[in-house]
Amino acid sequence: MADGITIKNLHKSFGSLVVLDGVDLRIERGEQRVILGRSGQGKSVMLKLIVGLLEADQGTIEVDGELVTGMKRKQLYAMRRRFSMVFQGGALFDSMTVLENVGLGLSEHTKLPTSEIHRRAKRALDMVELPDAGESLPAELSGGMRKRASLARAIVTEPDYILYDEPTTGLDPITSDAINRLIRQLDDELGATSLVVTHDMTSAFTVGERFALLNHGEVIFEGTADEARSATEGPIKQFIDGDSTGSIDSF
Amino acid sequence: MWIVLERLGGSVLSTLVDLGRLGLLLLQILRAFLAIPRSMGLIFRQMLIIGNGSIPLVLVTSVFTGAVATVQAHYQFQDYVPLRFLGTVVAKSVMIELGPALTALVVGARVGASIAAELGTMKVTEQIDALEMMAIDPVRYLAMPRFVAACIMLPMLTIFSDAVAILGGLFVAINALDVAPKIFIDGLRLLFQAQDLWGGLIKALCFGAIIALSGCVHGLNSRGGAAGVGEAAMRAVVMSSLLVLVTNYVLAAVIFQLIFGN
Repeated sequence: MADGITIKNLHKSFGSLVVLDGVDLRIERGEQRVILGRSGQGKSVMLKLIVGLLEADQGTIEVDGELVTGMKRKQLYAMRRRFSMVFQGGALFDSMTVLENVGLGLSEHTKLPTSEIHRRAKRALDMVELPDAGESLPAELSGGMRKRASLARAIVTEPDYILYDEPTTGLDPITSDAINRLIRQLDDELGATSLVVTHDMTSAFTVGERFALLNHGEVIFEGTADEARSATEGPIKQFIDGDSTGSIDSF
Repeated sequence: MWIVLERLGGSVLSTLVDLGRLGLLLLQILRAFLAIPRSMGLIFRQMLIIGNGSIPLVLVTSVFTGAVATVQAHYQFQDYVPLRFLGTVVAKSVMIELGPALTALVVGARVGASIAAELGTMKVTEQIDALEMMAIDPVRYLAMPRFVAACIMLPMLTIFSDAVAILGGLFVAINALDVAPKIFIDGLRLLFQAQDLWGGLIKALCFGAIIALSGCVHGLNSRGGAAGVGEAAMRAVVMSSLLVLVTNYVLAAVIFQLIFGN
């Protein structure tokens, strides 16, 4: 039984739009993997396929040796409890305070007393440097604070895998850097496997150990951060340079 | 001609899809009933939102419903029917028909739209996906508490509506139609049958289920951004109003003809 995530020949279309067209990818346990690609290349779709939020048309996904594709709802829920996800817009629950948001996973799945849940939620908020935001509603937070609150919600259950969907989109460069460093620090502290979807190269080089570049539904580059950085030609070089002329189409 | 037929076919198909989704959601909610004991907090919260929040609207609607029923009955009676039947007619029409149906229509517009807009916003901002990611079933966490709360609160609101409408009728009878209070009140007692009240309350319970289901089904299936949420709210109100009207007839036939009928 192989630990980590194994994706084989993954296909996904929405109507006539082919999003993933035979993706093969292996993510080792404990790895910090970045999935790169232009907008609309199926990066977020791949994350949702891994945790069964979407159903694959063809191909298989295995998590720690368990086949996710075709899992029943109950098995999916059991598998998802090993995962957390930081959504692009944060996806914090509007009607709850930040503390309630962070503690929800624990209150739903454990029999811990409320005081202990609050203590753990506060500790998670401290880790993301939001010690005083617990009583605020998500609407009262800035974009960066919402992302950090979402990070706190993701780490409070101490998951094996953390998925980040465009963690720095819409943030200013300084807040983005702070979020990137926080992700790196949390990954190191928790020892979780992280999968970061982004098109922000600064973010990618800060948080990632290995890169995969998606284009037209296929992985067209896979390698370490150093290999990507030292590439002198090819699609990864074009993507890192932000060059609109090359094998990756601009539209 | 083809365009008209195409649109008609599209509407019929979309209505059938909505009804299918509604049926499936009802089954999922019934399955989630096992989780009622640990969802009491969520249910009470929804009862407050659906019930307490609707009181002002039901109050105003019911006062005027009772007042209009009294004026119309008084006008219809002219000199042919004795005025001692005024209270009887108002009470019966309010308990059997006006109370449950009008309460369901106004609460349906308010609550159905609100549920669809809230769940629709959660859907398009990935909050429903976030719940799924946390291994929390959205039907158990969001739809079931709203369904149970609406099924409990609609009969409660209907009892409130019946009482307020009868008081509104009494007020108009005394102050505008010069009917003695004793005549109106004696009329209320005359021919009173408890089954009239029960029949109305059974209807209200079914209307509560329809309102919550319409809101949830459109909210959980909304797509796109703000426009999608707006459309979900609109479709929830239309579906809930139409189903309330159709079900009202079916229930009237079943309850008052088959069950309570002679």
